[in-house]
Amino acid sequence: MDLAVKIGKIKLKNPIMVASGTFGYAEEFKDITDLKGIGAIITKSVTMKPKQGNKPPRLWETTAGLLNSIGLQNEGVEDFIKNKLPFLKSVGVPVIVSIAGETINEYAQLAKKLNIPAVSGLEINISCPNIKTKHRLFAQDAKAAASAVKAVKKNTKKTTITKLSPEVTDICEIARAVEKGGSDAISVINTIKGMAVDIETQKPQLGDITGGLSGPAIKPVALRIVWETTQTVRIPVIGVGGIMTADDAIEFLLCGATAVQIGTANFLNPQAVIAVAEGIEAYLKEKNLSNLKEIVGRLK
Amino acid sequence: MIHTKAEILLNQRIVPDHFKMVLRLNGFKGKIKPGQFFHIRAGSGYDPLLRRPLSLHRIGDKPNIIELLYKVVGKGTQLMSRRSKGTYLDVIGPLGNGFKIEKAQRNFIIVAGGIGAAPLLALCDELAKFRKKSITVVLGAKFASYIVCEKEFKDLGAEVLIVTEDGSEGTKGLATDVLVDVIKRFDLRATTGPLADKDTSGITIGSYHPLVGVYTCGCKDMLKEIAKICKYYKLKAQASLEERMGCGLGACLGCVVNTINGYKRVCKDGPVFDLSEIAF
Ligand SMILES: Cc1cc2nc3c(=O)[nH]c(=O)nc-3n(C[C@H](O)[C@H](O)[C@H](O)COP(=O)(O)O)c2cc1C
Ligand code: FES
Repeated sequence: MDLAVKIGKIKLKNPIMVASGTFGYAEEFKDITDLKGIGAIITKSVTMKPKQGNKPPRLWETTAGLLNSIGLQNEGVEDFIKNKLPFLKSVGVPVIVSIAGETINEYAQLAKKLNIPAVSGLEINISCPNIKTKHRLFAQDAKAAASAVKAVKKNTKKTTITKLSPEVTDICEIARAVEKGGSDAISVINTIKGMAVDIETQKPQLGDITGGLSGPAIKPVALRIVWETTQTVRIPVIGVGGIMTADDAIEFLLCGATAVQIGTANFLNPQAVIAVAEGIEAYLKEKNLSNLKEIVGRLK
Repeated sequence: MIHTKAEILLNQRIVPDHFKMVLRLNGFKGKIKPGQFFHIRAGSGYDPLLRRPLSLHRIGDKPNIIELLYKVVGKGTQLMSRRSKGTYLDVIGPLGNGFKIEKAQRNFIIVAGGIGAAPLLALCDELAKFRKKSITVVLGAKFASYIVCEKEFKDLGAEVLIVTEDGSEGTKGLATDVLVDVIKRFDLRATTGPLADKDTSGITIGSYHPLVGVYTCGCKDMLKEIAKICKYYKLKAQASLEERMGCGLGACLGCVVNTINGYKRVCKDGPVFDLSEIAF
């Protein structure tokens, strides 16, 4: 059975990656996850300087969903290269480093710093809803989104995936802009901004008031965006949002996703990626197909 | 650490809203430290979505049999309370660091706020093995019917002081008031002696009392008050903290607590912290 896919120059043995921020730097899961079974590992987003993140509490469960307001806590790119990358490299699956800048220049610098062999590609995170900015997210402005991509492309030959926000008027406009900017793929979607209130204390449930919604609750939105963008751009679209099972992943593939990412599901089942890969294989067998490509975009 | 299906050997209500669950961890061979926890999937659906962290309450008859004590507070624990004997739960653990047992201490003060008693009984099991020691347990509860583990602590040779908020049993008031009375029984001159001690974070806090140690678990307000009291009397205090958790493995950074050394992960750097380190 052939589950292999290619995103830019990166070859994946199966189309299932772990989503940024939900799998740390992989080492945290090494005792209970068969890491070698993962198609590609996307790291927690790294920033130029260390970032302490938002005030706790940072998590709140909603009906079939999870609000998080982590705020990109990480030790910065230098520490990442020194202390996290060696283990990631040792796993032996493609390592895609998620990068988040506050300015276009920071994206450029991050790309430059990560020009090292252990890094297979970059996911350009321009869509984190948990960061306070005076202006819109880069992902909410076609020009700004394209500039971030161009800045990265100018400084790397590695495969780039641009991660988009669902919170825009016209997702296709943004997708086209980043394709034009030179992105090798897009991943959709990042979390959707939401909030929750404790009626006893009359305070927000999250320390940062708002947070990003993930999990099964956002799957229909993610699926619709995958379907819309695959109609529009030629570069591969990677589906993210509420994928818990192989059936969910297959829906994304049928809607045109070349690959998928699994986020929140890792918290419920640290072997989710493996289970989804096995489930896709079983589905292909059942349908008498031998190649993943035979279902991608085959929505009738 | 293991990710396994655990068979429910017992799931029993012991007092209103409080349940004891006994699990057999299939395939588990390691050791479990008091203060460590298990990340448990209560059901198989998506509401509740996440696992629930529950502390080790006691090691059972065999090293792979564990007891948990939980209070039904939400959807997850409600689902757990309905699970029957012979069925299986999806469990990851043991996780976290556990209590550091200070070998030099001889006088242990345990302060349990409500269901906070859960991890402290496992700790008391360990402390009971010390020779020439005293263990005093301040057991706080909202009202008499919510008192848990009184007999278990007594069976370990501990003195148990009951405190209830409404005075329906024991002293009326807060566990922290009784804690101060207990502390005052000790000779506190040692704390002002020439013992320049260092705490684990490497910051000199002054001299701790070498023999008396405080161990606690309960609500944030109680821990904050205990931190103040222990700072005043220069007593080392460790607390098992609770926070909402995602991964439970140190990856998502969803469970952080603010400390004097920045945000720390309750699931990985804790759940047990030196109380002097927490920035309340
Ligand atoms: C706790 C948490 C932390 C996250 N951190 C990041 C991050 O650092 N960078 C990023 O691009 N996305 C981050 N995300 C978003 C996920 O990568 C993903 O886009 C989103 O959760 C939707 O997928 P899911 O429903 O499978 O979780 C985070 C999500 C969660 C739940
Ligand atoms: S729960 Fe994920 S880091 Fe603690």
